[in-house]
Amino acid sequence: MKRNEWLMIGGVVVVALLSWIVIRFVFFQEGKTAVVMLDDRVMLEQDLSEDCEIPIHTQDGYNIFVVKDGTASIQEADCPDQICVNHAGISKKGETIVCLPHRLVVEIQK
Amino acid sequence: MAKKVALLGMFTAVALALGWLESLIPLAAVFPAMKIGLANIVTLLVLYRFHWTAAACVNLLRIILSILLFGNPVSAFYSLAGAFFSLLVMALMKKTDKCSVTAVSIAGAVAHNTAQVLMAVALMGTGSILLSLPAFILFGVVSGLCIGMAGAFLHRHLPKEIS
Repeated sequence: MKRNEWLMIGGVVVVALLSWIVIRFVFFQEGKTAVVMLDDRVMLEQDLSEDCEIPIHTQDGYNIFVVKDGTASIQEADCPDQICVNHAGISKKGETIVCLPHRLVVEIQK
Repeated sequence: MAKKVALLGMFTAVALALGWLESLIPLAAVFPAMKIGLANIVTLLVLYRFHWTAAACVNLLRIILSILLFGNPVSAFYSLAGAFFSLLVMALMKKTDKCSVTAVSIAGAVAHNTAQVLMAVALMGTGSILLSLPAFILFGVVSGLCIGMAGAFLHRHLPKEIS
């Protein structure tokens, strides 16, 4: 690769890194509520201070939504890719866990 | 013509196999929803050795076949958006004749990830997914660099008859 190509790629990396850092500090503060949405419809709002284990049934399958020690996660699901299950727990405002096959989104709000 | 069809068919099979191989790598545990894009080695090679229309055909066939084989119609929206936006960017960059294969690949990977994030915003109606865009772009630069170096190597060393 030529020098100006490296420079351009470096520029992209720097801009992306900076905006990532800004996003983490501005948007990602500890949240209070986990909201479970199916296709944009709010299914459930759960206070993060209360532990729970709630199965969510969608028309494509199920996801077991868990809140433990102030962190929301998907403990189990019958989706093919298991991305939502492997996703680390979330607790900061704006963080999401998305289960694409079931069109389910868990988002931390407030 | 017959030779071209045979070669493109072979490239489609290779792309399909690479896509499957990639699904075996448990990358999702570390980076949710992120993929290296191994199949893009084939797209890149077909783009350089043939034409962007050939690359578009190989992409479309690969996506249709992988839905039939591994089945998940929802993810087709994401695959199509990513594959075609990335091909558009790569074809335009190649047309300028000023960019190396690796740079074209990086731009393609970044475009692919950006299109998928935007598609997720459109399908889910949750703007907060946009906040993960910088992470996806960074990942695109890294994976595009690796894929691009592999593609450039193949483009340099594969026999000239394959075109």
